[in-house]
Amino acid sequence: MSNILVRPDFENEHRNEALEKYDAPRADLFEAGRDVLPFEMQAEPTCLHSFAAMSCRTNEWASWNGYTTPQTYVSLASEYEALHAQAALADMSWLTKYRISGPQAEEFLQKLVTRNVTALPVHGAARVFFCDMGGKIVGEGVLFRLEEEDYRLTVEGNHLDWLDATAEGFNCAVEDISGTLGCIALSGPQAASIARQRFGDAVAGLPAGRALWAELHAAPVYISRTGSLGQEGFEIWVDAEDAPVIWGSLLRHHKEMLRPAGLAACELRRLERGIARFGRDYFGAECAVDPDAARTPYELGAGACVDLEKGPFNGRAALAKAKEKGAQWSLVALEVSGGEPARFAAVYCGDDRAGSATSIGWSPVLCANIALATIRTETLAADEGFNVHAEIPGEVTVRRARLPAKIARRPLF
Amino acid sequence: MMEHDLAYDAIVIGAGHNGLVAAAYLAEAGKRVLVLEAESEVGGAAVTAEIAPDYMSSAGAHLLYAWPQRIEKDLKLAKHGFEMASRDMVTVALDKDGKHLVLPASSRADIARLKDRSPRDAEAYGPFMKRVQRYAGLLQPLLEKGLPVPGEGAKQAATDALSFIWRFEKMGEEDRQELGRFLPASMAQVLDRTFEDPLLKAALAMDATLGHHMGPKSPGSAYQYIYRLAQQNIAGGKMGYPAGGIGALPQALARLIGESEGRVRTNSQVRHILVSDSGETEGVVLTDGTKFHAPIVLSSLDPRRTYLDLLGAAHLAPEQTRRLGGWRMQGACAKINLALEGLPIIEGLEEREYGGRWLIAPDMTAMERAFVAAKRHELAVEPIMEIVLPSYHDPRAAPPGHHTMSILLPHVPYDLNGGWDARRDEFTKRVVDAVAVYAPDIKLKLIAGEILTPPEIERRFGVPGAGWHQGDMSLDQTLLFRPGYGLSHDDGPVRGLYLCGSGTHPGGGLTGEPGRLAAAHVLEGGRTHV
Ligand SMILES: Cc1cc2nc3c(=O)[nH]c(=O)nc-3n(C[C@H](O)[C@H](O)[C@H](O)COP(=O)(O)OP(=O)(O)OC[C@H]3O[C@@H](n4cnc5c(N)ncnc54)[C@H](O)[C@@H]3O)c2cc1C
Repeated sequence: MSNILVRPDFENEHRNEALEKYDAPRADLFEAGRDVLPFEMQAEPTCLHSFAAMSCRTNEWASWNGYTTPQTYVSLASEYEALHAQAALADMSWLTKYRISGPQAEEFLQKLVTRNVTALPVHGAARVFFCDMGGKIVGEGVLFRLEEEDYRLTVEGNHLDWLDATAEGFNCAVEDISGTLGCIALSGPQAASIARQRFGDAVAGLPAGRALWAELHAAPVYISRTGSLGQEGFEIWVDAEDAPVIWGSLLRHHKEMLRPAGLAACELRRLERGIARFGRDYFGAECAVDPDAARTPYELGAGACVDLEKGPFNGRAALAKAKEKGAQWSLVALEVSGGEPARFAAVYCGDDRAGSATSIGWSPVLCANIALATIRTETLAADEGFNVHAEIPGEVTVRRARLPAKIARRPLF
Repeated sequence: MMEHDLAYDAIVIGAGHNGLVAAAYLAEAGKRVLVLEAESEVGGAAVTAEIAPDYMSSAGAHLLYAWPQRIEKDLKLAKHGFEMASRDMVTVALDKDGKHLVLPASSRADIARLKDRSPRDAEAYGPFMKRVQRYAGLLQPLLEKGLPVPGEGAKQAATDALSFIWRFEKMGEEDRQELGRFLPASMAQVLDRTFEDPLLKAALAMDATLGHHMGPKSPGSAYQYIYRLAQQNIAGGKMGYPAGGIGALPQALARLIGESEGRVRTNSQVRHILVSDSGETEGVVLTDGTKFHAPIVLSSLDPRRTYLDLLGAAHLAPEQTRRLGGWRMQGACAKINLALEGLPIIEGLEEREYGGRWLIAPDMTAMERAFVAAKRHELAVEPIMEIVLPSYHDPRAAPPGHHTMSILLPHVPYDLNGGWDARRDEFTKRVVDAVAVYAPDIKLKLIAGEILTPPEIERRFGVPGAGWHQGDMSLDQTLLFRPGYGLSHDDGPVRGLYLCGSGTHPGGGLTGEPGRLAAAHVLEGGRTHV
């Protein structure tokens, strides 16, 4: 099953060079998609690094959000299997975490994000977007309300400067606490039962978007029913020093049904869930060189996260206009026919270019190529079917084929 | 009825000349305006004050180099007692050996003087001036109107852009290339390529650096020169001095407003701009808690104080907060005003040239040194000066036979090493000694004097950091970038709030243009107009 990892580094004498340049950038799910500048290359170890390294037999590491994290521990197949059939642990400590506290924390957040923050209860968590004046997403993440005036925002990318500029004039503090806090994701069908055994019934019964305090080996842990990446399961937030204890203890006590899962398996699972990822499926407004690479929440299909009625917030006027006008681009999930892993980027509607696939992968459970793609909204209404120009790697050669594709409901699985 | 119950159509914050010009235009259009000034006197940096009993000088700004006659006419300022004592002041670059230069060298005699110092320069002067005037001509139309708000008024913007491109094309290949080299260059680079006489170069470089945080060698100073030329051309190209000193200008404007349905209220420091829940300006609150209501508020304060202090960053988009955080307001200056027992004698100076604008700047190296010293929080060994004799234009400024002298000193640090208190006398002595090189009898004729250090200028005139322009006038802080997207007029997050001070387009100096354009913008209905 190793072929779900589509390798970009194959050679093909039949390749159309011009098409290649345009069509095949960053389309591979596990490829470090862009040229990395030297100063961006440094990657920190997470607080779980040495423990992860002990379990990481393949010694395949990925650099993610400025941290190193295992790409796979043993094999992609077994980790994928665990996520689907049993349970898996993933080190998510590479998330960027901000603490926002103070008497005006709520007012500040109300201005920052597009969602209505007053509706968020203590120990609640919600997906949030923050946008610029043009309504384009600067960043997205999950916002936790730990106490009345104490919040935590977990994101990808570095947004401290943006948060600071927004916080100007509000009586609240914004701190980057990424290094002090570990995050362990516990996902899979058996996750709830493991959680019950380790942390008690209350945790197992947590509804989605809620969190509570618990304890394990005398270490306080904050457990939320969230998946920063859309995986069903729990996230365990714990002091960086305590994180290895929790990690080790969970793996030790639940050997039979729990194994660590690397980034590759998690990413594939994300793709199956149809969750767009910041920095891959779209770019933040501040880092997109081409403004067309940035998106509004509407274009991601996340209009529910925008509350235009809640009062002023960053980008409100532009978002109101964008809503009225309708999204120009739509982020959709695609299921591509053809019974073997393929590689593609350009998406066509009939013979016309409709958009691009930004994450692709072979889903073993669906036995299909699946993708997240951004396409022109108007093509959704067109009668013609979608197709992709795919390359199908064989043993030594590559075949080209035009494969029919259809829009799939999210989650795909 | 209590006064704060009165309903006004518009409130203007700050009675500097720009705030007053804006208010006067609104008043002329029949609006009820209220001008609120923190100080006890109107005018901002434009005031006439006593140095000693019976000796008057323009305390801060002392010269109208770009004051448009158009505003005088529009507002019929003569009817309100405003009068120019002199409308045609020349620049006199003083020379230690009495071979002074007069600029602009337009008469045969002035050109002869140029030739006397350098025949080569006399030949290069005419073509140089023509060339820079062509560049200024390209810029001028952009300064005469409000700049388009991105996304809105797009049609007008397109027309303006086309006209700009057309004029740019029309300049010809050689001019265009030269302009490309000119804009980012330093004035020293430009002048060293063209002239050889150090005094001439220094005199021209003065117009590129005066009031700016720049020396002649600073990149971008050549642009400042073009900008000032364009400003001057809008005003008619001549420098002048008002009867009654610079303060007469704001006084006349304030009278005009008082005689309309408007009102100027001094000792009224605004603390906050009031904003309704729906994001519109409602009025202001003073530091003493008094509230005034109006649907439109114009602020003549610099963008940073207006938006961050009076409005509050909570109302801004982060892009705007960042822009304001990077707003540079440098270029502090000092003033020394002297009372004299008679006209100082300067060798080689003709009678009419006593009414000129004197420059003490022997060469660009001295100017650069002064700038570098200021950057290092030090005093210049050889101070650079712009001098005007108010009493020469306005006999009422001093008892018969006596005179006043107004000395403006650019490149004086705000934070002086060792502190201003300890070094005031040292500074004054340096300046008087430097003047004495040209006018040896000055010390004998000196009766009284006042010095205004940068911190004192800040306190007395309400000018933050004692800078001239409420923000450097570099390329990144002029035109569309003054002060920037969504901040210039009411295209920002708060409707009904306008900027009308020199921190907004078209910038600083006693031009009244930011005030005039802001008023025009308000009268046209705001937002949707250019
Ligand atoms: C020492 C000096 C010499 C200069 N010489 C010349 C010259 O010779 N020729 C020339 O053309 N230009 C000169 N300039 C530049 C020129 O004076 C300025 O560009 C001009 O004065 C700016 O006018 P303004 O109306 O935009 O702002 P300002 O004159 O700064 O007016 C702002 C006003 O707002 C008031 N204010 C501040 N805070 C509040 C508040 N919270 N509430 C109410 N009111 C408030 C201030 O007291 C002030 O009166 C000089 C500047 C300085 C500092």
